[in-house]
Amino acid sequence: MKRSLLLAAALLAGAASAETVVKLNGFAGADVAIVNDLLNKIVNPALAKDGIRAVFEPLQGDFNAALTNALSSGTAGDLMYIDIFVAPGFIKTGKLLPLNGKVSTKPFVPSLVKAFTDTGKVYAIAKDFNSLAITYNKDLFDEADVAYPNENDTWSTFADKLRKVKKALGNDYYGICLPADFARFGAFAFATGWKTFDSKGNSNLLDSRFKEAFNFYTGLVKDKTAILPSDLSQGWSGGCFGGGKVAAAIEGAWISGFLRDNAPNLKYGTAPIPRNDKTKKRGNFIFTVGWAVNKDSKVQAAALKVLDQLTSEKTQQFILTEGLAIPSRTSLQSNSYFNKTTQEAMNAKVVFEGASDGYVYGYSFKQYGGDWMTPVNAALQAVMSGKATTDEALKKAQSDLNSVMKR
Amino acid sequence: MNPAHYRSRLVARAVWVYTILIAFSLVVLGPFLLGTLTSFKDNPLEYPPTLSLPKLDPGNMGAAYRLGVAGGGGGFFGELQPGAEVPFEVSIFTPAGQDVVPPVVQVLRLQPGAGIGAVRDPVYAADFATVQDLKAGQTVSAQRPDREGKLQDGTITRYTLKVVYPHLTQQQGEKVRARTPKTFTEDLEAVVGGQVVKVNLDTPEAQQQRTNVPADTVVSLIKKDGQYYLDGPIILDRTPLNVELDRGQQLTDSTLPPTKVERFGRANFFNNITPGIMGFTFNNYLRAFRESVDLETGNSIFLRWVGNSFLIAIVKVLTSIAFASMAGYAFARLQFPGKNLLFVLVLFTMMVPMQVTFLSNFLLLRDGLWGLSKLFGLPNFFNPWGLIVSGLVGSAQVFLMKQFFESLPRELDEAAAIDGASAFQSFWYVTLPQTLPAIATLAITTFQGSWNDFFWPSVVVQNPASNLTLPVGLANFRQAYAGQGDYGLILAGAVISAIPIILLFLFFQRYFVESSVGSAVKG
Repeated sequence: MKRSLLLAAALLAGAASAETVVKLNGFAGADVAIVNDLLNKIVNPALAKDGIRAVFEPLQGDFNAALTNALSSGTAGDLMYIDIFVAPGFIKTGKLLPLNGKVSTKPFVPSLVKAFTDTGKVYAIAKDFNSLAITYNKDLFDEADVAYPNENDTWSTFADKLRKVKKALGNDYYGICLPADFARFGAFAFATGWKTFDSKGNSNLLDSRFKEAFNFYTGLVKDKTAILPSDLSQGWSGGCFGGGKVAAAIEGAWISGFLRDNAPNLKYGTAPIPRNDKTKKRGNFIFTVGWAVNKDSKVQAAALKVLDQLTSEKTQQFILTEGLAIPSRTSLQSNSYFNKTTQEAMNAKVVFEGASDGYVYGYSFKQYGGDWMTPVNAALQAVMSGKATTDEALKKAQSDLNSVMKR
Repeated sequence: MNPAHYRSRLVARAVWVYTILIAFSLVVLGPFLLGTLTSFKDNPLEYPPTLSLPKLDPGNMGAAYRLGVAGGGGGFFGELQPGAEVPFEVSIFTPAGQDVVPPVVQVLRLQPGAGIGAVRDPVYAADFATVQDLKAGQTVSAQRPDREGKLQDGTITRYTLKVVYPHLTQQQGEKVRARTPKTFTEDLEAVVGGQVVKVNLDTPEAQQQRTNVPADTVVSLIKKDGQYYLDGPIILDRTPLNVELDRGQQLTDSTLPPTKVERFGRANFFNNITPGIMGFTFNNYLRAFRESVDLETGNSIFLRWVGNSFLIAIVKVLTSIAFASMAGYAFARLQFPGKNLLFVLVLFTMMVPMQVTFLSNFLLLRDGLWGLSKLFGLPNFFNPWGLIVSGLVGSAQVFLMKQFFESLPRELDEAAAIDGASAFQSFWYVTLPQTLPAIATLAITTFQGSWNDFFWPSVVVQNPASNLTLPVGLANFRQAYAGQGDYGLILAGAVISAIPIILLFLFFQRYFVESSVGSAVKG
């Protein structure tokens, strides 16, 4: 009797505390900390009255591969990150829920909404965005007695400053860290007016404008002003810059969080990407990640509520002031944070302004995804490591690219 | 042919053979050795790489031990406890013609770098501890190279300082170590012996610090007259210290070597000045356990991965022994229609590469083996159970056992049959006791294969993180930490994962060799 009473009480207690659990998939790494902070401080308290609890389940390894795997096996979360870079492919799988009529896209920056739109349907809401800027080490410029990079720099004046720093500081130091990666080099290619795909949908790497950018970028490495991150045993130029031996790096706002942890004493400033000498324009990429809803989700209504919270003003304010990324809501873009004078806030401001200055394109390559970049990166690598001349490398890249795009 | 010449040729040949063997083992073991050494470094990506390991220097380890004791947490797992006074010394070179100014020393407020460890709301030493009594000691003249390598004259001054963590209560009484509850409460509470008790904040300092004591944190309390008073939270993570110098000055010596030197030697950062030996030398190993926590329960997930790997490997070993020995016996000794066809089918599964069959296996597990998993309350088999179910026995193991049984004399079985034993009795009482070497071989190879398996587990177990096996978990470490260049922790995890296999190899080398020979030669 006593036992059955206890059992009944336990069952009742269970029923009373029944809650809808919404699972979120995103990157592992630093995002684990950020998203959990968001959930604990903002999202879950706001949704507690609806009996909804969001749980973050980061996917291990290569996120896009893991997400493909999870979607096909039915173990994916109810909400997930979709990177602009792979969005076209994931939209084509038909596993994402179209959000038209379920979420208002009005408060968000139009170009970011467009990034996740396919045939008039929106499939994800950008959680934030990022672009590229020049981060420079003030101490190295001071020590070398060279003026800091600034918004008036052109390619030639910028390169000149870097050369002077290198000359003054000697062999252990470098002007800039340049990876053999279109994700950074592309900003220079765009500044010349060149486009990834021309009006016919073809990519022309033998265009004189592309060559000009290519020669400038690889030339810095050839005259030892720049160094590849791998030559300093680093995986990316942020790590290179954090080591304190490189005067500048081309990265987005994500570098400020990294430096706060890994180089607590590094004094850095941020300048926009330099202008091309002929066009007088800058080039840049827009990087963004959106939240998408799983079409097979059993708790779609709850997932949409969580999505609302994840992209709310309050959340984006938090993301911004933590110095993590730039908010995707238009209303936040006049936020007072951008006028602060901390090095993180100044970095965010330059990155934010870079997204609407000159020739700016989203970081995506139609249905080709990363395959489009492979030949271009190989060409950069070949020339930067002195294995091929520009003409040879570009010719090979063009033919490889043609076969990629014919597939 | 004189004997002396013959002997010298023999010696020369032996030298050659040994040299080749040693070179070969260095090539094979090199990555593992370097990885092990690198796992002790603060900056595993240092360029150019060096083999100097201040972490393994006995003098530094002694200092780390003493600092750990001074912090109050003991010499092995250093902590910073209320009432601690940690002495620290730095020596600073000032070039001639420059004023000898004391350094600016502060306790830094640093978030953990990356990964799951960054999730927890830590207690910051900077909120509670301050630098006091910075005093200049003796000054001696010296010469040091500047940045270009030219020797310059100057003086070296020795400074002493203390990092002090004052008590937050004046009460005297019994010290109690407790944890704050898992959810943040307005009034401070703590769990003492399973009971939630109210904690008094009886000084203005303690009241100001209330917001700096997060949920689920270890605190030190003073118990007096049945009341508990907050003495202060115990800082488990680290006590980071920053020593900033004027331009031109250099740090020449300090109680512990600096973790990171920036700004041309002006900024010297010490990651933890109360480390204890574990926190200093084995810091990356400690972090592998501490920073990989399950977000739901807060327990170390690294141990779960080790446990999962062990569980799967051991269950697989047991089932393999059972099924492979029975099937092997049937193929070797029994006569039944279709035996040869069946054996060819078994061999056929050995010949097809795993990458071909994994898709169909994947689909089977997705449906939970035609819904069998539902009997155990699992919607599908994408969890450690799926790994066990899909690896109960392998055709290679059956083949190994069959070959071994065939090498045993048949007369024994025939004798057992004459005495009236059934097929199973003959297998159980007569044949099996003789196959211990084969079973040992089978156990070892199965354990090793299962422990090191990566591809299949990475496909099958995805979420939640507590389901992963160790190799997949390590890949997940790479995702979480490699972006930050934090390879020390990844390598520490890899070294830990290699230890069981190394031990297995050391103790059972004989069987490893036998497994490749014994199954091929019929006696």
